[in-house]
Amino acid sequence: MKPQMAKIPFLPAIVILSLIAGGCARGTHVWHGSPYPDTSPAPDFELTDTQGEPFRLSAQRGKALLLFFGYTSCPDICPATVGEMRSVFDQMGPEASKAIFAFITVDPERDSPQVLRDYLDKFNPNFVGLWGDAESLAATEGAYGVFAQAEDHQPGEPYEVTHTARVFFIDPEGLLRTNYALDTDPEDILADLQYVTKGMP
Amino acid sequence: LKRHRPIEALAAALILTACSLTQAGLQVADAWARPADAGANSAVYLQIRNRGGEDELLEVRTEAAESASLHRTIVDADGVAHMEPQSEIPIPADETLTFEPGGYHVMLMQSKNALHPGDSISVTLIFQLAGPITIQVPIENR
Repeated sequence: MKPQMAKIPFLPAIVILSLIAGGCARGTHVWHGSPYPDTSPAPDFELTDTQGEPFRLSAQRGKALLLFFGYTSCPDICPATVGEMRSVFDQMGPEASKAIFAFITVDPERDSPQVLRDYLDKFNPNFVGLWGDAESLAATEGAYGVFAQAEDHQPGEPYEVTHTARVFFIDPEGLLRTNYALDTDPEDILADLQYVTKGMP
Repeated sequence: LKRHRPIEALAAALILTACSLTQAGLQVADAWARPADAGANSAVYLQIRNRGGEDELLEVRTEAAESASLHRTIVDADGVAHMEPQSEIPIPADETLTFEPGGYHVMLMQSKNALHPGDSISVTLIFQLAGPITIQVPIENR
């Protein structure tokens, strides 16, 4: 009984001190969406942009990157997501040049680079459209845990693609920080972007 | 009498428009559709306000696209989205059902003409009890 009594007064102090130390070490920013518990580099990939130029993720360091996997014939969730990105980028104003939104097609059969360009231009001409052969696209989807599967269809027949509809947030150091579902408040995404681009040249 | 005809026609048109929006306690409001190129897909979003008894939305028709259907986007816990065609959508009594991105929507497959912001299209919703309700849906960037 006695030894236990002696230890108790120190416990709250230890708990409080470790909380303060932990808080300082982690910084004060709380990522929105679904943050990754362990921060690690975003999986690298190389795809082709709508100008036919190679787009390598690791070559984009120094900019915040938002990645979305979708398709242009998608009537609901993709335009809703890209529309939300437009609103976020509009709100960033001139700071928007410190961020990239890239739309990776999950439907290379219909989404040619030109189709992607025409589609994205309606939202923001700076948005990047990425395309590749089935193998490179599947590898990129796999690396990000993205599910994408086209409905069975006859050639030329309309079809839908079931796919993961989250936006992945990669900071300017290439670290995968969090991802956002469609119902994320654009203000929250803006807050994360402003946090990483603050003080950047 | 001739002088009054345009006014009478206008009055009749206004009455018809008003009637087409509200039937048997159902009101269709806040409708909008996304811009699209000719041949591309779009979606219509709206609210169905029901101040009457239970009803069902059975079908949707428009001349603006090759086909129009009732759909619902379902997003699972892993964030995977897929669309499910809806054969009928229950409209509970005294409730408002909202069609919004990531949920219920009217899917327009292959727009016949380009849908530009500022344009509008005519869409008819067919309810089991209330019958057809035709609305003008503005094309908007939202």
